[in-house]
Amino acid sequence: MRFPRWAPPIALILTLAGVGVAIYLTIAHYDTGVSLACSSKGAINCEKVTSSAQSEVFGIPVAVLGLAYFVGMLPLQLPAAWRSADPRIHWGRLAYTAAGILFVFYLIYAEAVIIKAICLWCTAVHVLTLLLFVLTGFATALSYADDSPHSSQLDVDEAEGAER
Amino acid sequence: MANGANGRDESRQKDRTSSKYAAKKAASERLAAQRAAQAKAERRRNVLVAGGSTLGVIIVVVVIVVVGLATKKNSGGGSGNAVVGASSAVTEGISAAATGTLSQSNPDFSTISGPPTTISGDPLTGAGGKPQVLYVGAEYCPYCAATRWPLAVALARFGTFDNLKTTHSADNDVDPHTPTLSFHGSSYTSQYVDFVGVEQEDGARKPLETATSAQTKLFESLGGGAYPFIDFGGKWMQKGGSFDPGLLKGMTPDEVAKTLADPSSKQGKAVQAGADVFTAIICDIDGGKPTDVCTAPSVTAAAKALNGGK
Repeated sequence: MRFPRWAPPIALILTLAGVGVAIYLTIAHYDTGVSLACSSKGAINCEKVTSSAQSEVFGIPVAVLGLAYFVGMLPLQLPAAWRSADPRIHWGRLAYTAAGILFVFYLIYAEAVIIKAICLWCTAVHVLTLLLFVLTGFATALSYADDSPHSSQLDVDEAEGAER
Repeated sequence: MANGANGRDESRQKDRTSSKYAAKKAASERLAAQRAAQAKAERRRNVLVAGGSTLGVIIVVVVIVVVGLATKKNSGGGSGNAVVGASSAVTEGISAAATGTLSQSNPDFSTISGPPTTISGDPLTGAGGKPQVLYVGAEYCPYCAATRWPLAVALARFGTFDNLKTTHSADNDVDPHTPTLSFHGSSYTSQYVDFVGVEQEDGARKPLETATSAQTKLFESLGGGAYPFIDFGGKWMQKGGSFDPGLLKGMTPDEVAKTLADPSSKQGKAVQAGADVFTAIICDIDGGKPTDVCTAPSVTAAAKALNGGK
């Protein structure tokens, strides 16, 4: 599979940013002395979101789940993983980001409909998850076309050259 | 002659080979062009699928947010649950729990949420310089619903409530219809401590009571603006619920009141643990008075738990 060259470094940066924000949210969850740098008035209210019943799923803090998610994402987004010839890694990466998006849907629903407050740091995590899904989706789509049986002998650029 | 004929044959052979090669090359180029076109079409199709998925995700997010905004407006126009004067069963239940559970020497604090933490700042005092307990909450809030029970039991150990109300938390929130008290319109008298209960919003999330600017500052700077918030004399604070409101699911205020003095019930156990912790804190801010309350086994156990078991 031939992935766009820009995909691995951007994906890795986004994943590391996700790990960083998730660590911050996890520390704020467990250490009551640490308050999130975030508004506490009106619709933007991190405290209200992170102290809500929805801040835990099956007894596990969502912040911890987020951290586990991004840590789990890390090996899949390493340049070596992008270079791997094993298609399971690439489809697994895509499925992993898609699963993250489904969980983000639930978290946005919880914030917008149940808690009625938005946590900016949580939104940062949601945006990073969305960007990783989009990036992985596009990179996989482009590489799959390059690697498909129809074009297995051809580099797409060469094919474009042949057409010209 | 023979040599000349051979030369012509070779030349014809070369021409045939050359035209065969040219035809093969042309066919190969056509095939390559065809493959390239197919690859390009497939790439376009895959990019469309990826773009469509991205668009789908964005649409779902927008729909969720719009639904959230719409329900927010609707809930603002709702009517909330009825607020009625506390029955004698409730007031007696609180009094019984306030006095009857103090002798528990080994209370279970595992149900406590939060827990309260120490804060530094100016002492919070009320009329006559007594240390003040400031509660900021809302009638719709399920965590406030759970927290009012242990807070009322703890305060009943230091003074007397009048005109307490009962109600339920909002039906359209988490832990819906949690039975509870309301401090709105109530009064509290004590020779040891001052209590101010501010219910900022009613059961329908409409403004109910207005906190002073000083109270709002504490609520927002220390409590993060989240209900409930309790400031104990500027020395301790409770952010969020005291225990899981789900423990009170499906009960009426009278049914909760019956469990208060029953440490064998999970509700009674949770309320008692919360009340003991709040009591230990109030003892800490009022100088340990009254002695019979502040030296009771359950309160000293709570004080020990608050200080990390020391």
